[in-house]
Amino acid sequence: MTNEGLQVFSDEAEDLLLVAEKALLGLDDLSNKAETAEGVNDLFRTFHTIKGAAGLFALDSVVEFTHVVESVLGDIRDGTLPLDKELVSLFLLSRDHLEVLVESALNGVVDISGAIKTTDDALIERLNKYLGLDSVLDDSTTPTIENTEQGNNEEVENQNWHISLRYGIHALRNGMDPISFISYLNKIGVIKSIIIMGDAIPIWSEFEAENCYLGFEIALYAPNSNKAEIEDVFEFVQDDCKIRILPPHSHIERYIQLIEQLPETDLRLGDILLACGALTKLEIDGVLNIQDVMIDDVTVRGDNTAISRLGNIAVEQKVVDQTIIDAAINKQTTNKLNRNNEQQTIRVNAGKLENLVNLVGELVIGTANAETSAIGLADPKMNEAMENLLRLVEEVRDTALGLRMMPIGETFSRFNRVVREVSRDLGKEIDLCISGEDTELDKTLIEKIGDPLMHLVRNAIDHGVELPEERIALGKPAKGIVNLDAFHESGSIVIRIKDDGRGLQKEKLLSKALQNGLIQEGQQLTDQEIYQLIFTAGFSTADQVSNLSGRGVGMDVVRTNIESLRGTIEITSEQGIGSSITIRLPLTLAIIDGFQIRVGDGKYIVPLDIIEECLELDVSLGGESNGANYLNLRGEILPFMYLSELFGEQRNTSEGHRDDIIVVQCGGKKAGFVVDELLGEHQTVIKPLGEIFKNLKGISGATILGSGEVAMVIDTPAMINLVINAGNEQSVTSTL
Amino acid sequence: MPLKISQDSIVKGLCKLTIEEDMTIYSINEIKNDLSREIELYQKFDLDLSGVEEIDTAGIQLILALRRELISKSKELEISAVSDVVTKLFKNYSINSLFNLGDNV
Repeated sequence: MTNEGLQVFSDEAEDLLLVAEKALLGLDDLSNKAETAEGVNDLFRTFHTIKGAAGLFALDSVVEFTHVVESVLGDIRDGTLPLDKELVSLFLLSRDHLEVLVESALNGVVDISGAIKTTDDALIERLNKYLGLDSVLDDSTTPTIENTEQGNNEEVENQNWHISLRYGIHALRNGMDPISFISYLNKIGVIKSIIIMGDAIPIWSEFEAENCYLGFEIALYAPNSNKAEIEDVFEFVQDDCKIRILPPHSHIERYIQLIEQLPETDLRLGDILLACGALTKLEIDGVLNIQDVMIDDVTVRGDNTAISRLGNIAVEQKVVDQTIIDAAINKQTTNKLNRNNEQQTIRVNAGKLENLVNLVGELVIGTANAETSAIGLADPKMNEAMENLLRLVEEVRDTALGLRMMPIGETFSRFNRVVREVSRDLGKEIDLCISGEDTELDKTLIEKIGDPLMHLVRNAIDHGVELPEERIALGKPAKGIVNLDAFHESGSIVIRIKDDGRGLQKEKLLSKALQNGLIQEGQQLTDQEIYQLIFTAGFSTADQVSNLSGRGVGMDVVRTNIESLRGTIEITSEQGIGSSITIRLPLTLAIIDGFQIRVGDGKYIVPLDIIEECLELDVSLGGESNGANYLNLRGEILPFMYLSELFGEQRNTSEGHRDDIIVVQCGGKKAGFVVDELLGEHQTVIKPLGEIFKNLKGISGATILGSGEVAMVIDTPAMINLVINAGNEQSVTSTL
Repeated sequence: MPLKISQDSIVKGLCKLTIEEDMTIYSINEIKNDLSREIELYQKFDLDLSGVEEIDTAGIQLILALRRELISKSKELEISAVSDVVTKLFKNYSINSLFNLGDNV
């Protein structure tokens, strides 16, 4: 899988984990049933999504762990398991652990090991308890090492690792049960002896049972491990635990240091080390003596020398293993690499970006205002400065909007795997052809278009492309092709999903629609109208409900989603040849290059990108003469409309008045708008209209002009349809 | 209630403490509080852990704390019975000898 794909997953997982954390932290008031249920639902969905995404990239460790969490959440959601504070904190721990898992999976770690594994096991064990499953820890996995029996009595002090653990006060409460780490040590070696250090336990009256006061002195026989491996076991608990590890054959000074560092008294520690078999009686006596000498040194020579001497000992006695140095160097190198990556991309809070775009919008309005005043002053110097400023503002605007633009390629390439897996499940052979992956569009659009696209691609595979046998029988190549294409077209983004399958079956659609009562018997429908039926809620022609499609939900959701982005969706299909679905989305959502026009007393903005040409409405063009609002544009039929009629403005019919017509083109359709005056280009910041205007067709927003006037922004695709439909009605009436 | 307390009718001053089901971090505070009342009243304690179904390090720590407390007050603590899970953890921590449980419990 590509790195970009993984990056997308990583970002997504990061966001989802944030959502999960928020949901968990929102679960503080468990008495509020409705809120809790909602939170649990959120959590379930979040973990489910992470699991699904991780599954796509075969990150098994993440999938396995998330599955358990999800199961517990499922039980809670179904009401078979009550949610309590412990569970919430367990889920928080699980979430944190999941973060670690995702990170290690992204770093290419296939099998988790060491501390992560320990935590994994511990958490799964705790989660499984809620599911009524027993512990999964299996003693049989403990490796048996040869000669353990002999090793017990011979040279014990030499060949064992000595591990000193002093747990932090919150270790137990944080779910870091020492036993799980000790169990794990048993997997990488054999614990020769373990002494539990209860010295720190306070007297009963001050003893807090949930605190952890314990420490452990462990002798571990693990000849095949290095220090890093053993340290790894405790990596996860580092914050909660002081760990000191002495390799086998450590020099006596190391033990001196150890004894100095540990909180218990020296004599007691001597006994413990003796009991552990770390040191012999003779050595112990030696250690305690040397220490006395060193303390004398301190008093005699002063602190500095003593410290340097300890340091010398550390170096001389090979305190630092070669592998550890290597690991440290490796880590530094990766850090450096990471830093380089950081310079290439910066993750910015979307809110900040939004804020910037809004401010740029205000700036554009502000400069338009200044421009109007400047023109009024008619000062050449002022005008020159204004020109310069306008150009800069335009650049700032484009750059600011460009920040939100991303190539659609990443979204597209995610479908490769989907197509492969889905077609395999259905026994179909399908190639996915992707083009135009460099096409850039607004990030919010990319995010919102992902789900509808997924649905359409799955539909194409499930409903469109036939089984290989059918295809061969039809004389088509056995392998079907699904095309995904994206490109810019006159101010909008076009995304097209095309397959070479069976196409939409009109008869089937019609009979189904009749059955569902969506259309009446004998009703005449155009092809487009028939195709649009598939976007009706509850409509499905699949004979069998598969797990992919056929439930009749989805296509209506696809349409709603796309319409909410001010986009349009269009189907063309040819039976037996294939079908193609075209989605058109506006390029940006906030600031556009507009063209200002005047109709009556009102000013309006038309997006500049969709304007083909402007001409004078001349009698020679034909126009109303034939009763319908059609004119002959160089041999082409062009429906047009007087905007003044539509907007209820007074139409200027006075002598010498010249009507202009602007020809707009969108989605392959052309129409003409007749206006009173062309006012020229205008940088337009689209401001949404209030709730009251929500159902107003033909207007997509408003903008503030330099003079402070409000101008309406014309929703061209809707307006073109209006013009064409009005024309149709008229032509129908005229033929009657 | 995980802790049951009964006074032995034959041996004077002997308190039988029976801990059942859960002896993990989740119930440890409750057990500790219940024990606090009793350890002042009696001289000898008999701890029955045969009904413990779950125990973690917090449970072990509590037993160690109890032992230290009682030793410091010259009182006696004996563990009379243990369940399998307790045995396993005691073995893992090598603390059988502290309670004269031997290796075969």
